[in-house]
Amino acid sequence: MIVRTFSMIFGLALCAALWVAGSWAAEVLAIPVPGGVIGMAVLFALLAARVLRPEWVAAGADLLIRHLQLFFIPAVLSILSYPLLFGLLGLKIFVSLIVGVFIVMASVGLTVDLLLRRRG
Amino acid sequence: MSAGLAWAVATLMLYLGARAVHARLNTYWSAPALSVSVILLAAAMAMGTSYAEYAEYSYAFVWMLGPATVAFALPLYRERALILRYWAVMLAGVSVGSVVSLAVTWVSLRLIPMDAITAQSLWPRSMTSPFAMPFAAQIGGDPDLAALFVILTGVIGAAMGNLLLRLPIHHPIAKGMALGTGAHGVGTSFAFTLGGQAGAIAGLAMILTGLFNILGLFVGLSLLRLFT
Repeated sequence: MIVRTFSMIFGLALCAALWVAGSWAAEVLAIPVPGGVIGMAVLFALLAARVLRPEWVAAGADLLIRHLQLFFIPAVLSILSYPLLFGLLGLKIFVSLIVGVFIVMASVGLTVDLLLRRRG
Repeated sequence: MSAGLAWAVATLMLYLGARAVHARLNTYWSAPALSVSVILLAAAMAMGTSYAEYAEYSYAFVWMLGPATVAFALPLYRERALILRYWAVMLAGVSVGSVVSLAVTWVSLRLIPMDAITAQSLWPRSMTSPFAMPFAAQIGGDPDLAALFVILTGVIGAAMGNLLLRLPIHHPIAKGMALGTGAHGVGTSFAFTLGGQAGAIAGLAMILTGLFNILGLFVGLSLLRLFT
């Protein structure tokens, strides 16, 4: 229980701190990579170098990933600022998304399947 | 309690409720991001609430996408054996998916006339939100609008999962790659219903697709800066 609570708080705090640090580094170095990506690379390096053990951050990190959907719901409401999307334009885009995502999934699936079959 | 704060509390409560419902129904269309967005949207329109009024406090949730991106390091580390074993196939799948996604977006934009901000927000629809939003911002789109196209793509992709399975795609790795690369998080949930290996691969494909595109954009922009 104590380990889980620690892992929750430490995991959340570390992810937040690495995000802030990553964003700061991206700004100072003027590189257009999101701070979260830099933070992710640092966290991965710390785990790979065995400076951190996965179970120290697991509860917090898993919580963030599990609730990813909550985090972008408010952004979806931005459609309120785009009244045109409620009309014909929205319908056209919707259809293009249906066709597009199927083409993407089919091409990836078929390519990977073919490569794996070649490999045997 | 101010209206903005009430919206934030409502968002959280609805999300928790929708999660419980989703756990029981367990279908792609019950994804909380879709159901909660639809309910909130209907309520906001009925009450004449603007996006700025809604987002006053609720936007704090969106900030959590930053730390969540950092947290992706953990599944990448946990599944490093899977990545090492299949890295070449995964790289091929992610590259094909990214190029095809950009190509179909380009065709869509040629066929459907629309304003520049909406158009630029469409490009990253096959990436997971934590990558899609900064990607859209970087190319002059609206990151919030990009999140809308992302969730639509995810739900549509998972909805077409069964259709996808009718194609001659047999290996669970190939199914997982297709769903994760094309339909990110929602596709990954669908992939998990096919089996643990397909799900794990889909989750990795989702993260790697985002990384691949963000880093590709970085390299592209850097080269552009170098030569202009």
